[in-house]
Amino acid sequence: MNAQLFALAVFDGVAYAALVFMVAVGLTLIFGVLRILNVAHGSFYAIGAYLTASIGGAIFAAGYAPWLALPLMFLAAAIVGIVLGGPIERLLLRRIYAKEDALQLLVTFAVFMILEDVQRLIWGTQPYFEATALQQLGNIEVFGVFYTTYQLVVLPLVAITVLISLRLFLRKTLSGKLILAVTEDRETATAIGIDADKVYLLTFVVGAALAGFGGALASATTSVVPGMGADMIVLSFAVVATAGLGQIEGAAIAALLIGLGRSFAVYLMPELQVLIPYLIMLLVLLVRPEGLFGVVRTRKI
Amino acid sequence: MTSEILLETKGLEINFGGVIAADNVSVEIHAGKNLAIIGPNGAGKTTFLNICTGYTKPNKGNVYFCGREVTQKSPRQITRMGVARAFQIPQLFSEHTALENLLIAAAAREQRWAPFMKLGQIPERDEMMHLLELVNCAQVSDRLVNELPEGQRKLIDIAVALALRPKLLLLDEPTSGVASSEKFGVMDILTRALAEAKVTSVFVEHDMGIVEKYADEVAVWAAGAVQLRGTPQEVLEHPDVIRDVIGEEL
Amino acid sequence: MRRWLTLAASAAVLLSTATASAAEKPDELKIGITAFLSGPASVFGEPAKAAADMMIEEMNAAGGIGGVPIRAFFVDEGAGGEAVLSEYRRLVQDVEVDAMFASISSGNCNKVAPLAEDLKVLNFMWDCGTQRIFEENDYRYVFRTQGNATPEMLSTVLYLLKTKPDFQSIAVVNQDYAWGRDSWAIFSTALKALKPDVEVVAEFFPKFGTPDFSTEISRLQAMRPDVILSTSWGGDLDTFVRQASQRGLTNTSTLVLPLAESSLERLGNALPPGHIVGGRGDHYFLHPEKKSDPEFAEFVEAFREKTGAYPIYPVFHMSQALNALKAAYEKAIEANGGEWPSHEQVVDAMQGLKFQGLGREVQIRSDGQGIEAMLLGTTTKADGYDFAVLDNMMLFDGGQITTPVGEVSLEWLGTLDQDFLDGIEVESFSHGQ
Repeated sequence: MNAQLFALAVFDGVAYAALVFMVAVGLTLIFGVLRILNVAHGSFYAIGAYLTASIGGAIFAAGYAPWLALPLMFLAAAIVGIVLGGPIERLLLRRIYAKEDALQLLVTFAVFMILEDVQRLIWGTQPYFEATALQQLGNIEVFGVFYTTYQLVVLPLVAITVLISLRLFLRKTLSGKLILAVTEDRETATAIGIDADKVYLLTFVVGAALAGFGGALASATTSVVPGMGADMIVLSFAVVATAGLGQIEGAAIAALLIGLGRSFAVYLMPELQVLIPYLIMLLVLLVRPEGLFGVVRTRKI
Repeated sequence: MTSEILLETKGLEINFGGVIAADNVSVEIHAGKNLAIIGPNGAGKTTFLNICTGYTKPNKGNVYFCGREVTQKSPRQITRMGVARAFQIPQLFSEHTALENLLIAAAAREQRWAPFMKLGQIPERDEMMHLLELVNCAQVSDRLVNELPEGQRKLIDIAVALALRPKLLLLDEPTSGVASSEKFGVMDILTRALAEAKVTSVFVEHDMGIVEKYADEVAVWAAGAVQLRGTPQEVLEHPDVIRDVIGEEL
Repeated sequence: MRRWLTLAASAAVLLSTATASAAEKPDELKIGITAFLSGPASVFGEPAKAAADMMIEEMNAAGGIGGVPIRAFFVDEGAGGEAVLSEYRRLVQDVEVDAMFASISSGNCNKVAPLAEDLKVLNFMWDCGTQRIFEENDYRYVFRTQGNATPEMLSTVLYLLKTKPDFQSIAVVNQDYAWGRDSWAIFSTALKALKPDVEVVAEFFPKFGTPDFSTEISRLQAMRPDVILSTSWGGDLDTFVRQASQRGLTNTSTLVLPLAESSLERLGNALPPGHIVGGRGDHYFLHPEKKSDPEFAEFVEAFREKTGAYPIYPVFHMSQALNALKAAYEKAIEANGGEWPSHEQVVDAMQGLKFQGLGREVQIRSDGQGIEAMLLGTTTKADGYDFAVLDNMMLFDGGQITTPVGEVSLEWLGTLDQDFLDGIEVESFSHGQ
């Protein structure tokens, strides 16, 4: 493998990692705060994609300006977070926080299955495609290979922005600190009067919106088809497990690892490509079961 | 002259699978009188604190705080009404500094939510620094609490409880885990801070020296019920107490 | 007296059942049809079902088959192989269908064929492509009313060699499952036999349903093969073509897409001119020999109105299966002196049966395999359509390019040579013709 191919593999890996990160970060945030593994997270991703592709397809066919693509993605993310995430947390998850983990997993899995059917009911089974955002930005040539500006530049930038914003929000602002406090020790937080219910709701809505945003961004690059939620949830689980549950910066690094691993596999050993994310996860967990950056939590009581 | 009744329990009963942890407990706690609770292990002292702060619900009986019934309320609700609790193991956010712990408590008290404000900018900052000074921990305000010695952690825990502006503070063995040489020092600071903040305390203690020096009243618990109550002199020299409680301590 | 009446009644009954060895003419002709109505392959199953509904309605309006109306029972292949098999049994044994059309998935066909033989039910493999079924076993009750992977891939190789005889390098990007692997095996065997000096620069088999081919495309851009083959379909094909086109890969390599007829409309302007497209048979809504045919044009319009899209090859396959069934019954009825035939008689009638769906005539040969013509073309832009249409079309006669009876495809393909290539008869058509 020469320098050109190496560079190309890196670019491909980074673009892929950016999308995976968007979904994984929401998942890990939700787990960190609510301590629930949200299987339905994949559905948030898929619905964000479907919303963007279908609404986008309609408005651009009607002649609206292409730059509306990005605001549309924000809108789709917001809809997923507020219309979908909010009620799910408030009406369903709130009732099962005290229940055992296996039950919680089953419940979020059931939500996932229901949402898969909802997608089919609303959008049918034919593939959707809406690439206006990507087409608007054209191509960049690097080392004799053409990349779309969207994938090479925009996606990684967006991912980094999200990462930095989240980090700043959580570590510097008041609300962020309260969320971190609840994450660290729910009992203490409640004992001093923090409204944990509000924190949970906010976190879930933000996490869901992030996944929806990931889907919205992805919809410009690929066909939106039934089952894309399922694929993404498995992959983001692998990222979150590798990083350590609840670790946000870790999720970025794990996503990068897995993205690069996959793209180098395509260049060197294409047959292994599908296995790579899970191989990486396995290797990391064998050495460090709590994940790369995970914290071994001791129970207080 | 009777001072205001802060906390009152009537006929509390609770049974944990055959063990009677509260047996018709009716108690009044008056403002300004620091009460020590002593008794052998398993007598139901911690259970009593749990019931008063909403962590456990009694099978029978009622709890009133400043005249309002709180028996079925959640710990959070009771806290916001003015009853704070300090646990045996300080409940602090170990990844945060001492001052941050206090600021979080202040934010919780005021139900502040600003997503764009920095924690250090809240109006209560000065008040929290003052509290830290009160517990002699101002010099470690910027240190992470999990780096501090147990004594300071205890004091900061108290400060956090005080940040919530309680009227009543319930403490579970405030000097346990503190080195013997430091116990009195910690209690001095503690009682002075509470006095200045006008907070009444109820504390469970096993160290009779502490009880003798810092309590205004002492209540003796055994088998889930209050056996005796009076001034430290009266209680600690009572023969039954010497036999059943202090004897155990020796 | 009573005994005499009973005897007379019994004799009358015996006589009536004995005459003309006629079976009881049923109230309706029941057909079980399996198709993907959910999952990614529903892009094939849904149009096929819509077509079946339309065609059956039309056939029934004209009297049905031999005067008997048709009724279809659908099974969703998306429920999984086990479910398909148990539904298959139920339809044959409980509902007592007269024929089964199964399946779209080659995996299901592999299991259904021996089951059909076991249950002795007339079974049409109406859409699956695996060539192995008749090459590995003999069947009495199983027939294929379309071509199979071998003529489909071979015709693609031939079209490629005839339109770009001097290309030197090729890469493949196929879905990682049986079809993707088998189709490449057939294609590459034929290609290497007919053009031994060609260089295969890369073989990619990305995961079925993968949403992103970015890395493969980067690699292909760096390698710049003359030709890129992909037998993928549905969302995978759409994504691959769009991403390749966005990044300019379609400027440097010619895409060869044997299943892309089913994606033409959906791809819109994403598939640029100059790329090779096939339709698994002579299936195309602008079939050069049929588009002026009023019945054909009417059907295309009606289908478009009902479903919002032009018909694609599963629709054509469905029409072939239905027409095969009709032709078989009519042939059997005639052989039976106008009386309703028994099931076995219908099966017998399948031998050498000729029938016609929406395309050219198809014939069933001695091993049950259908001989179907193949159509390929090159994409071009034309007025009146906001998606790519085909130009420079070639129609290959199925008889020359289907593996001879009794031989195994991969072996037969390895024996092809320049003489074979020269001997291929082909008819050419352009878009406007």
